[in-house]
Amino acid sequence: MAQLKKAQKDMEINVLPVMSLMTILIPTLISMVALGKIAIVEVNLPERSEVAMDSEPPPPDDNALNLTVALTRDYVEIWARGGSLPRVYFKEMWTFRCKVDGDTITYEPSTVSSDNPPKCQNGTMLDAEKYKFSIETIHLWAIHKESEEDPGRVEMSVYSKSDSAYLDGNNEFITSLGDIRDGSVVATLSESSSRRLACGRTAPGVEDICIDGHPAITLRPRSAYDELAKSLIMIHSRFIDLPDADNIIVLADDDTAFDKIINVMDRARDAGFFKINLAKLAGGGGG
Amino acid sequence: MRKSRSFGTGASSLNLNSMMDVMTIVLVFLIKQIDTEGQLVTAAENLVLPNSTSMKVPKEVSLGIVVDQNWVLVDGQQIVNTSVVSEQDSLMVAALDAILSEKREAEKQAKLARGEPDEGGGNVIVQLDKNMSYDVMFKVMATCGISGFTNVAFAVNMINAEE
Repeated sequence: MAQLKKAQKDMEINVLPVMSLMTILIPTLISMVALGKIAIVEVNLPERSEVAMDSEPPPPDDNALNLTVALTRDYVEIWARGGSLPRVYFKEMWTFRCKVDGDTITYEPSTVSSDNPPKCQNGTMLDAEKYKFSIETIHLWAIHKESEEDPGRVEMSVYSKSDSAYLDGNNEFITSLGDIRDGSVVATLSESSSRRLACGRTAPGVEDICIDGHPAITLRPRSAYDELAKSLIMIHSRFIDLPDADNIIVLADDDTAFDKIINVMDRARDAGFFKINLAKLAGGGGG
Repeated sequence: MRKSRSFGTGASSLNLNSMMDVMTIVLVFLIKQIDTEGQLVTAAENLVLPNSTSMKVPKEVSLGIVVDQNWVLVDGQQIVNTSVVSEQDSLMVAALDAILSEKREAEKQAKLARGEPDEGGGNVIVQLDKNMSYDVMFKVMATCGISGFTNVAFAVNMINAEE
């Protein structure tokens, strides 16, 4: 009997080599796993680089949409078919992340400069020359202005758990949390996104707005990108039959951050404008 | 009681079975995570790519240009200072154009040697820091076009489009 037990014990698999193998394999695989997947955004090259400088510009086509989005320091403006939509003014805010304590700090761009770089909560200054490269998020808060001189007030909107602005039945942004209740029918800026809101229930066409039984929707400054997206979706659906209905030109100032360009391009592509041209704004814009 | 008697009497061995189970699960999870197609673009170290809802992934190997706060690099080789690009008035970055034209010519010759037609211009993927100015981005992009790399794409971090 004792011999049998001994034999059984001898037959036990020695897992140590396998463990050693795993200990090597797992860190190797972890190093190979890409935490974020890289995508690409394609653009059409600036026309000035392809067209000879002395050549005549093509005559304007009256039947074309000729959609252009101009992004300046203060506003976004859409031009199409020889006219323009009202400017969407915005207030730009920069959120920095301090490497020393991991906290975020938010500044208006006009309040920071290389002489007065952003200061972390523990008093540490960000690099005076390169503080702009520490911006984690650029917020563009849409503001409502009565006139050019009016400083304006920040527009508010109700946002879902997944950070989508809600629209009501008239395709207007919902501006009060009081307008959202169990059973409300809302939409977002995506196509065919109409849904009924509920708390604690999910079903086809029903969105659960609660986390642990509490509503998780928020009222916060409306993004100028959302205003832009709404207008672009409207334009694309209205002029879908035009020959250049998929084309858009994005104009921007020299000092516009690349992140803002990508955000505008995303909104354009999501609205159905797939052929994106980039060009520079002459004269600096900036209102 | 039994425990106290057996304690210290024989050679105790660590039971590794549960550890093996955990490791096996982690291993399977990691293998699943690794894209079987492989990543054709690797994010550069000294920059932060912007987030985008774009779901388009690069399908073929392209020339890589990286523009960080200090340098413009082509395939990892430092070409010109970013501040020089920012300060110049011309749209064409001469140092970048020189190296890109050379690479484009080499690409053409290689295609010719393989008997393939060289159509549609070269492909280039540009990685720019998300806080880089539009001015620098535009000059790099224009230079790519001038030197024959007419299919320009910008690398971005893919974020899941929620709805």
